Amino acid sequence: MSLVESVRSRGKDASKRVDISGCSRSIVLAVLVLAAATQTAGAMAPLEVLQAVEDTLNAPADREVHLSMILIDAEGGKKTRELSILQKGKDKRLIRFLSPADVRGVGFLALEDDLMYIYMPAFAKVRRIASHVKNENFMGTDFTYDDMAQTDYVKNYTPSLREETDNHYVLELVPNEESEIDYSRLVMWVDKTTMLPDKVEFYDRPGLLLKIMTQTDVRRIDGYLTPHHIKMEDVQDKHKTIMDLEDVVHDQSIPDKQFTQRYLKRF
Amino acid sequence: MTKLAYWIVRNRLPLLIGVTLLTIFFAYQLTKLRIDSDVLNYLPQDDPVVQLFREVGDKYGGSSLAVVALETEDVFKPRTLARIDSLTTRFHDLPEISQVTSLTDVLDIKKIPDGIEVGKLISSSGIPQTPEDLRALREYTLSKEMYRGNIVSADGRTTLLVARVRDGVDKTEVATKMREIVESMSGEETIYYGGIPFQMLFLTDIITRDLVRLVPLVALLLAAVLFFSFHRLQGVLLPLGAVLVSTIWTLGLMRWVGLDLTIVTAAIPVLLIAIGSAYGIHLLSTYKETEGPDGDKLDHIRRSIAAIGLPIILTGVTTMVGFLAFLFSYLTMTREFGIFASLGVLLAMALSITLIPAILSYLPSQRPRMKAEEQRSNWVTRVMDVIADLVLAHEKLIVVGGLLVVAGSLVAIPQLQREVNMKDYFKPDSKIRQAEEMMEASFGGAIPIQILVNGDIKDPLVLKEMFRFEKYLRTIPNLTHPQSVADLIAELNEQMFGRRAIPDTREGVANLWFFVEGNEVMNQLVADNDTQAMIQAKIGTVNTARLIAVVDSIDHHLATAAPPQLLWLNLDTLPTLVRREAESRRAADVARVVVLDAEHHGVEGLNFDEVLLAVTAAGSASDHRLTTEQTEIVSGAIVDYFGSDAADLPIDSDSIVSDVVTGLEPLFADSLPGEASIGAVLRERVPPSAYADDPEAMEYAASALRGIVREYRRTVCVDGLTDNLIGMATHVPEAAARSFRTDIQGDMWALVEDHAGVASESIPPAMLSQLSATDPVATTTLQTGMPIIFKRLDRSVVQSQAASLVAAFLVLFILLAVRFRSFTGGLISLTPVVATVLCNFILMAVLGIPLDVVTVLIGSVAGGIGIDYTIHFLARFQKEFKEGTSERDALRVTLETTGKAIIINATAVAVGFLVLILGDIVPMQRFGFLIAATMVTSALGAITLLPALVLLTKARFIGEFDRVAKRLNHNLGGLRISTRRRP
Repeated sequence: MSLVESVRSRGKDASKRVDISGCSRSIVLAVLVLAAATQTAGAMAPLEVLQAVEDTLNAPADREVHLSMILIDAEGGKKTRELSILQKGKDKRLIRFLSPADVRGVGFLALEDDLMYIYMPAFAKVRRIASHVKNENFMGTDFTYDDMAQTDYVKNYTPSLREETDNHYVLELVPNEESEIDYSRLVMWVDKTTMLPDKVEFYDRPGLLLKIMTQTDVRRIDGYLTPHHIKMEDVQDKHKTIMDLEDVVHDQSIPDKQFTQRYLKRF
Repeated sequence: MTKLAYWIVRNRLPLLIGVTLLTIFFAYQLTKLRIDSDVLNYLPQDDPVVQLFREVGDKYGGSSLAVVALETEDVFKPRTLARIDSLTTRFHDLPEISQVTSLTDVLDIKKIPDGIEVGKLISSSGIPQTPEDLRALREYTLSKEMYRGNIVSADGRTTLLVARVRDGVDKTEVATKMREIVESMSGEETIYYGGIPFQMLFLTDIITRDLVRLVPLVALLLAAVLFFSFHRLQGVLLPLGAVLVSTIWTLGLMRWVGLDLTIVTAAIPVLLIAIGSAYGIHLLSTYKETEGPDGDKLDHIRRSIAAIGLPIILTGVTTMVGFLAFLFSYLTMTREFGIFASLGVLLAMALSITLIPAILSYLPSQRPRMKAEEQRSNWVTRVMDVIADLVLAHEKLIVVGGLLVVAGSLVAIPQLQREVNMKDYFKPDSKIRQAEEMMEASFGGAIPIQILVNGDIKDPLVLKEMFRFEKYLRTIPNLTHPQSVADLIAELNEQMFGRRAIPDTREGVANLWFFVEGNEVMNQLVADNDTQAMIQAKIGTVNTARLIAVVDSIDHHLATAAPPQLLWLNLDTLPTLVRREAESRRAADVARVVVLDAEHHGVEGLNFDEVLLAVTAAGSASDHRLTTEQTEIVSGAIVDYFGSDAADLPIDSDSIVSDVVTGLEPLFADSLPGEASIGAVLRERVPPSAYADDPEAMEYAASALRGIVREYRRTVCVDGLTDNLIGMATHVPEAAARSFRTDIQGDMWALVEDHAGVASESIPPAMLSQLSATDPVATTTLQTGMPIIFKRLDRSVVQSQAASLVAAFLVLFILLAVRFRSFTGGLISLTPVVATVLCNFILMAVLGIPLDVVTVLIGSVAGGIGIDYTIHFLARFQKEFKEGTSERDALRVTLETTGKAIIINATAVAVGFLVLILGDIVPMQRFGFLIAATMVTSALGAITLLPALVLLTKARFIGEFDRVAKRLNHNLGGLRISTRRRP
């Protein structure tokens, strides 16, 4: 038990550093694996759970997804759009809008170190987006740029176990100081069998519930667990965003050059 | 009447019990009475103007703004910013508030190197702490027209938190909550509260305070007057009790039918106490005359009722008529006032002839104490005699005086001002008024005005039209800070691509729009699936006349400057003639906008014709030859392109890049080259290894290079035109120089765009059929907002005034004509009150008192009350005259008896109304003062103008003047004969 404790405190300390390099992260991971191995029953430390979630989410080397997105406002008005998402590792993501027609080709590229670019086909120009934007909503959705761009939970949050039920670990995640995240905390329900979050509650700075994300319809595609129906509901503005994944392809060895400004313009 | 008297006496016990029970019931209702100070509720809800206003409020998250201002030495300090931030958050958490705009919650679009930052001006987590950061933030914020004078005053001392209050919620309650939040967070900043919700809250407060203070005061005053007249407790308690009970019933009944007190109906208690007591007084004094230890008390009561009942009812009915005239008013609250004030009068009248006798019957009889009163009345009697002499000697002069009043009013009435704004309800030194004045001075006011645009809002033509319209709005005096989605798009375009203009393609608009989609601010700017947009501006005046001038000039512009039906087309696809026509239309539009921009920024020396000439003379952006210097700039841009991550062809060697540039220079220096010729140069000079694995790269590169050249050529053209125009200006204010340049530059971009509006009739029919996919752009524009409501109120004030006066005087005329069985009688008896109303208008014009929702009531009310004096006077005069005395004697007797009573009564009522002056609601103060004045004038009119007219016209309804004339012949010179009657 003391080992687990030490791992947990180590994890906390590590997360407070300016950045965890891939190297130190893998050390943490090694210790975690060790810790898990020495455990008697299935009880997992919060950091282990979170790491497992992140690992599950980032298991494929790359992923290409076509999805439809429905935005529903408080009055029930709907807007539909189609997009494709190209993802490689944790840090590289390219989002391309395919419809409606007047925004077809608008692209969004997120790279390491909060680098973000937008491409507007009507102007044939790429523009960098300041990192401040990451806490703003992305293109009319209820996801922030940050929600869309990354899944670095271990790096950005300190977890604690709020509750463990038969099927779920309920984690409470508090953002680390240097993460620049505008949520005051997250509550995450992690499914014990898939190690994927079924539901995440986002709380705003004053501590009020802001958004609820639910992920359902988990399918195994190319050996990876992938939720196909993702809903984000802003309970304050009564606005919803629903994403339905259509084509999901993994591990196509997408080259790094696909995630450049040059390719952002290619459409 | 006798029957009624018997009935009252017979049923006195059940009557007393019934009145007591009803009073308890209505007193209970009274405790639930609330004050409704929402101007919008005062208006008829089926009026389309009101409906549109509500609809807009519903769609755009509310149409009223609650404003909290913080004033300190410099708002850009961490503590103040933190306070603003927590206030913003807490306001935002109130469910009744749809949106809060403040320094820490406002959309900011900022240019950064190679990119853009769209986010909050100051985020909660990013309040700067160091002096340098704070200074930079202050400088940046004050440099933007979006913020300066809009959420921060130009001197950086005051900042606003503007909360949009949802429609259909209790605005007073929201304002209370907001005030509690502010007060719970202490700070060094001075706080101001402004906007309709806070005005309503303060109004509710002072209405309540006035009621609590003034009603007891009037009651006390009435008690004093009663004691002065009757010298005994029952003389005080009975009439006072009757009016208090009738007041409780009236207000209780109001609540019972579900109405709240408004600023107008709040006057009912004071009003009823002041005028309703007269009925009780008349009954008691009649009773007193016959009262004594001897005889049957019940018989005395019966006789009193029989004697005075009818006159009480008649005067009561005329007063009611004065109030009921408000049924013709447009304003709901005025109609309510009319109904319940007349109901109150009815109740006071009914209770005076029922309740008072019923109670009297249980009280022991008292000896009359005549002596003291007798002595006191002597001097009044003498004054009356002097008046009688005056009337008799100068009857013509008095009538001439009356005519002068008519003439004076003809001059005065057109001078009357009107004021319907709520700000005017408060005293100049009140907090809310000071807040409004601060807001006007530093922030261009807090009254929003909205213009709705219906159409396909994402169409560039529609947005351009809106943008142009806003530029016009900026030139209207007293109107500031127009904002719409068009500004937002232009702002994004400026920060991203350096041009403050609407892009000329639908995709261009949509791409930028997409970037801010879903942002909170969009909910206030567009609705109905982007088929309706709102332009909002602020009005920097609360003066009704100036407010209406703003509304009218907008309406006028909307009506006259409506664009023809245009097709938004690419000019390259058009026949030369059509193209020329479209270009000259575009040039004229641009020239007009330049003139508007110049006007807004205070730039002088730019007139339409010269500007038009300048913009037409400019050549095409793609044809002219670049100078050596310009060619170098383009070459530099191409080198930069190859060096950037976005380069489509990866070339690592500097020498290859410079080789490519050398090859391209001759092409782009002369004109805009095609992609094919650029591609040829590239293929010739770039080694195939650079694009071997990516064959498309070559095409992308050619297209990008052409884009760079095209962009530069257009920029040169735009900048040249801009410089030229600024050179033409004779004066450019220094402070505005930068914004003016940005605006003009944005205007010039329209001249180099591919698309322009083309009138559908100028396109050849054959071509038009091919263009069928493109429909002409149709928009409709509507204006709404509080100023329109004020305009409506203003018009209604005039209409209400006219309608209620006509109605009141018509009914009064009929009543009087019937009463005196004479058409002339009706006319003559109406003259004193008509003169009174005219005098009132003269007084208002002289003192600069405006007509408002309350002062508009004075005419009819004064008519209804003042006519009583005429009735009393004429009745007595007629009686005396018919009994055979000369008209002179009759006049004297009438003046000494009824005349005296009239003066006492009028004084009592006037003093009662004067109490309103002590209140805090300005229109109520004016109402109190003016009604008091009308009481005096109508009483004076009744005892001077009325007899003068009767004497002059020898009106037959009074009696046979000839008969008296014959008798008088014996008695000439008797004008000065004293016929003082001794009682």
